[in-house]
Amino acid sequence: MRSRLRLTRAWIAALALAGLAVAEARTATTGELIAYRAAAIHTGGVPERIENAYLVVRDGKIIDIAALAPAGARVIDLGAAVIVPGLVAADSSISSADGEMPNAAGDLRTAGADLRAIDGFDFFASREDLLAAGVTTVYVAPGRSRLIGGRGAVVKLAGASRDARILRAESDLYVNLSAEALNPPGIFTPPVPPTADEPLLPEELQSPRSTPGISLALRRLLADAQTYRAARQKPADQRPAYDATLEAVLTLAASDVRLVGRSAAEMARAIAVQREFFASDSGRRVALSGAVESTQMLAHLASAGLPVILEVESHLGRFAGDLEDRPGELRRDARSAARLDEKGIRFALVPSRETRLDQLRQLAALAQAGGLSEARALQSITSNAAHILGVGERVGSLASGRDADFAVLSAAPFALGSQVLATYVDGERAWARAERGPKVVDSFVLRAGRILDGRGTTFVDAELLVIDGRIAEVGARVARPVGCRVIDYGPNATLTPGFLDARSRFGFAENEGGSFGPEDQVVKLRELHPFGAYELALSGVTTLISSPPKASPKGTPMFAVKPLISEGAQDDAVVRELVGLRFEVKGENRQRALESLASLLKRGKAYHEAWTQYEAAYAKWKAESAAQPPAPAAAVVSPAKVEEKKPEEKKAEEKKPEEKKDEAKKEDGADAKAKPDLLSGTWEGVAEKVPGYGTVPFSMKIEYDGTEAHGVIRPQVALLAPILFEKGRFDGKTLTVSFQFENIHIDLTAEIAAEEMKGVAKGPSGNEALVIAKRTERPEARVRNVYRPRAEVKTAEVEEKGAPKKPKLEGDLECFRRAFRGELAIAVDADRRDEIEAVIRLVRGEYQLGLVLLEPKEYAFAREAIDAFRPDVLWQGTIVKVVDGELQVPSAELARAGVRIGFQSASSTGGRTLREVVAWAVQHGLSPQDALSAVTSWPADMFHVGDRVGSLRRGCDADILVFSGEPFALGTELRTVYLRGRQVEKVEKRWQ
Amino acid sequence: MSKKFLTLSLLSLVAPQAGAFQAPEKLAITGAKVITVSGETYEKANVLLENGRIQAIGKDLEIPWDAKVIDASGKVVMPGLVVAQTNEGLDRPNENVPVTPFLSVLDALNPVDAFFEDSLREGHATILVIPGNETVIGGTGRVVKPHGLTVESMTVRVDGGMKIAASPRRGVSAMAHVAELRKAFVEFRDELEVAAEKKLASAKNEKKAEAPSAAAGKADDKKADEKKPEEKKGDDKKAAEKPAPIDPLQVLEWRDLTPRQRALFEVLSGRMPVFLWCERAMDVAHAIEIAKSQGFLARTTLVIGAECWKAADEIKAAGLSVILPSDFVHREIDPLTGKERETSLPKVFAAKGIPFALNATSRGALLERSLLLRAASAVAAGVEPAVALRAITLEPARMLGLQDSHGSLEVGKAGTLLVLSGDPFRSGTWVEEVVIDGAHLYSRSKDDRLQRLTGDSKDGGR
Repeated sequence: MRSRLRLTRAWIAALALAGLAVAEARTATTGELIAYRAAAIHTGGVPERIENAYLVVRDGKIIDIAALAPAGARVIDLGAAVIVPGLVAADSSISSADGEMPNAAGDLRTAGADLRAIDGFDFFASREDLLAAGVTTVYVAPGRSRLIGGRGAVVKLAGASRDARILRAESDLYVNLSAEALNPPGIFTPPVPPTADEPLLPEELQSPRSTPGISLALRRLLADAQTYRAARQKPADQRPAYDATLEAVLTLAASDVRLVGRSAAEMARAIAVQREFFASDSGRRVALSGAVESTQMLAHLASAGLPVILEVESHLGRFAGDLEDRPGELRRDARSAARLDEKGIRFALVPSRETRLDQLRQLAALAQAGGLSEARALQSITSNAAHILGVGERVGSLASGRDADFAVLSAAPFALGSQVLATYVDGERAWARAERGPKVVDSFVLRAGRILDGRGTTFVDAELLVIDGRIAEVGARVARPVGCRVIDYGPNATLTPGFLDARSRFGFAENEGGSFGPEDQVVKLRELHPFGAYELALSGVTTLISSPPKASPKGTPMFAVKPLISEGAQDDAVVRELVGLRFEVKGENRQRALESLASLLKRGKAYHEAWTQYEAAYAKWKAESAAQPPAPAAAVVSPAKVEEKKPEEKKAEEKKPEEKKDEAKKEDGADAKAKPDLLSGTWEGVAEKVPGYGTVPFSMKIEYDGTEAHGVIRPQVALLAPILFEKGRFDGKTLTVSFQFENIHIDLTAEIAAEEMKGVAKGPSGNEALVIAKRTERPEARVRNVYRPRAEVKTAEVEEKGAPKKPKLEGDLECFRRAFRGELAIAVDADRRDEIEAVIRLVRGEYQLGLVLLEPKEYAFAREAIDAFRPDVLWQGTIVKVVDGELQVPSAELARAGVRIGFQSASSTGGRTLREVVAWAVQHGLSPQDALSAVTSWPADMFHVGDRVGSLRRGCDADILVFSGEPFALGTELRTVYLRGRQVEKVEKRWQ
Repeated sequence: MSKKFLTLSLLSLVAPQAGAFQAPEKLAITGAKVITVSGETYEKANVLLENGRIQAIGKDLEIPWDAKVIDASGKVVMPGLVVAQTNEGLDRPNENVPVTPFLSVLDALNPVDAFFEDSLREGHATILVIPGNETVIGGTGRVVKPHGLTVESMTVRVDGGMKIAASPRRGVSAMAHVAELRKAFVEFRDELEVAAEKKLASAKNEKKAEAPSAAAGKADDKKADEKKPEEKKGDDKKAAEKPAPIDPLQVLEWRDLTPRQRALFEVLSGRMPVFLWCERAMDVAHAIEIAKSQGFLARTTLVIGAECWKAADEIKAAGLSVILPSDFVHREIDPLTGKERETSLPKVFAAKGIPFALNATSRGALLERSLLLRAASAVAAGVEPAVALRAITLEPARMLGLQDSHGSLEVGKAGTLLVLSGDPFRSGTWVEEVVIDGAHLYSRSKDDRLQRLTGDSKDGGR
């Protein structure tokens, strides 16, 4: 029950993350009550954390935090997500004052007291980087290069209007007692025009210029201000001129003040200055900012009773410079925050000048390493920060009456991998990862009590990461790519690879196949979306080795396919074409069938060897002729030929001499044909630096018939006519084509890769234009149930002069080349002992080919041959039987003997019962581990598709089964099936 | 270079201006389509000018026998275009000291600057030349016509407006700039208060029969009509802050002020138009705050940069009009997608119903040099043709306080008009004739320089 609950929750979470934007498509209307349900709400105040609660919001204000949604409220379920108050940065430099330059700022004195940070804050600038980090409120510092830098401001990072975003337009006066404010820039005020009475004077130096000068300067400033105030009361003729700075200093008397001191000495000075000038008895707020070396000053700080804005430095994603080379480097202590907390000093955490403001949440996490509690760490970037800034009644905590500023996180605020999903300001969504987050890979993590990888490894309490439909990682703790969903199936759940039905006729009609030959390279599936595919997938069968039911004496092709559950992923349906050849050596014709197989293998080997020799000879000739300059008379090699040769040449070199066997045919262009057409279709792009035109956008329609490409280029520029071209050559990678553009001969050479074209168009004078295009339209998907007679493909080839003579291409033997290369299995249906033994001796003994025996009923009598030659065996009907009073479980017996086994349904969708069939064998003694291998990695390896399916290994397709317990226990439910990383939906859902 | 060419080019400099001093008393433009902008558009109508003003517009007007006639059959007549503000035609746009309200373009304007000749050719008949934007308080501008050899003879209006910048100049932070701007006004008001106090004190000392309140009352009478109630309120509030409630704006008169104080005094009194420069959207709030607190909001026009469309709602709420930059398309890169977003300002402001003027610059790209082309571009961007037309005639005229004399063709208004070869928004339309204050000052058929450029010159375009 518990795990079921978790499962549901996990799915709601997944949906919530993916569809946050969709679920909340409309914005709040006036007076509308909205309840955000989250797995936990961290209030930033008391109580610290409420589980499974609703945050109720109306008109941008929090109405309540409740266990139930109020009647009439629109509920937005955030699933497993967590709500925290919008983060508050108690210090920042995001006003334009950072660009302030010496001398240019006009009449800025020692005190730029009349400066307001709010004037330098750009309300129109994008603050998405900070909103994406969950920060909603910031303190904007004025200039920092003077003793009194001006007045800070507290603003929100989003909101309906400028006024709505200003929490405090004039907050505290920024008094900088640290070294950075020494030697402030001088002031140069030239008169217009300079006269004898008003001469041009050098710039006026500003104080303080030394540390002891700070108090002096402050004292003088305050005294000046008092004198000024008195003098301003005098009659007009004796009154001094208005002085904006001193006017501002006069307001110091009751103003909030921020004293900046980083080193211990500066902090001591700050406390002294506070005692002398800024007694906090008048109700003003005085805070100490910086406090890097606060651990050295704890007692002093505690007695001063000032709240502290603690600068923390992080090196997340950034190396520190050579710290030892900077003697003035302040001692930062990870324990500072915890120590301040112990002393009962209220503090906020802020990033140091070198640290990014969007790491605010991570800074608080780092402070926990020093011993700070999670709740206090969160308060230090929310409610405590807000209180120090004097805006604690508006923001920083989630409580009735506060502004609805909050962040939605994927997990607890400081949990590893916890990410901001959305940020709300005044109840309006200001940022959402789904809408405005950077593009991320499509990924999810599955958690389960056990993960069986299908190759004998069991991971306990483990995770599995899927990226783009493939398994990226399996282990105790896997990566959490940004934006990934985490789905926890609970401690009882078991993940296994999707099952294989090792022989099926899925996709073929009941009596189909007599006319099939191995030369049919293309899967002939009757339908691409056959009936029953969905049920198969749901039953856990994610791969089928399928072949037509009727046997052909030349060998019936076997294909590795997947039950397609959706249109549009047709290429995904085929794991690999031609993974085996099936023969029947049984019944009345057994002798003829055996002879036919023997002769086929003999011819096949000869054919294989002929080609191997030819390829070696051709490669040698090619190397030799390449060393000489090409003869002008050399015939043009057709691109189709080039394509088929190159991989072969390589393979020929790799081959060992003892592998020389006969073969007779060529597997070639048809294979290429079956490959997706990389070239045909519509391409759209630009040609850059076209002489006389500059950048020319164009569309290009190409038709490629396997040998030549022709089509039309349409420049998207007025007055340029479409350009026809033909006889383009394409070798699978490079397209070479010539055409006339404005009566000039142009040669275009372009690389085609991943639906993109990149190339150069060359004119006769050496001018080059860069061509970049993307394929926007593919040719119509090829209908797969069409026969492709071999003869058609060979027409375009042109013989090269002097090249070694090519062996004759023989369609029905072509596949044996792959068999002898070990890429294709020979599957034989044999029942009787003599049949079994003869087949084993022929295929394994004489030719050492991969052999899969299909339901060898009299296996028990052929054990000698089986044990000697180790063929693979598939079982269908003979699961458990009693022979002569003896219980026989053939699968268990052979598996124990070290033979790879598998199970075959031999029907269209009979594989649906695969798990029950195997469970029966397990009930009678088949090892569960072997049973799992027998439906996953073993058949995958038998048919050479183990790199794609059959195991939960990095790079394999994410075909994953989620069981409620032991996969073959009868009481275990198959909960969920993933096919290529997509969940196969349950029936109920599918018809909804 | 041949002697002939030299002579011709010298002539061409002088030629279009030669007739300036002898405007015929009567001038008739006949047979044209007349776009009045403010009223109806006439087909095949005549416009009659007398003594520099429009005497009549209509279909079957009788042409006086002594009128000079411009036959504009098949052509289009429209009001002379109004350049809402420019800093061209000056020896340099700004003084390098930030607060210089006492400066005037009078001393910097160069009547023989090629800018004026170009303006005439483009049909820009009324131009506010005002200091540039690199300033805090830049000085006063002057409305001129692009014709004349002295500033005085060019002048249409002396107090064209004060240039104030809400955007920081180069190298200064926005924070420091705004503080400086605010300070300049507070200090100036303080200066006025001292002057007012001194004046009142001396009046008392001399015990003259004339009570100061009478003087104040007099000034008040004069201003009562001009001032809007909210300005007054602002002033009162300002005065209320001080212990002695003296309103220097009422106490002081022109003669009590030093020459340096006069221009800014006119601004505070609400008599001088103000052109407030906002480069970025964030500056708009500062501009409005300053204009409101100093009581000149009603006379203020914003000169905006392209980004300011983002502050359109604030501009609308303040009831301000704007002068768009000559390149009125705002481009920015989306930080996430890296894609460029384009926003056409005229469309935004037209949709919001904010009055706006288009602007041109001879320093920009070809399309930015002519107000007609700017208006055509605005129409291409989706603005109603009527709105685009107003944005180069009546709207800028209103911003310059010239709505009663310029910007449209109405009986009694200045005889400043253009004869176009065709529809104003059609490409290929030329300004054929320019008439300013009844004087026929430009004729394309006699524009030698243009003909050289286009290859129509009689001497083969050498």
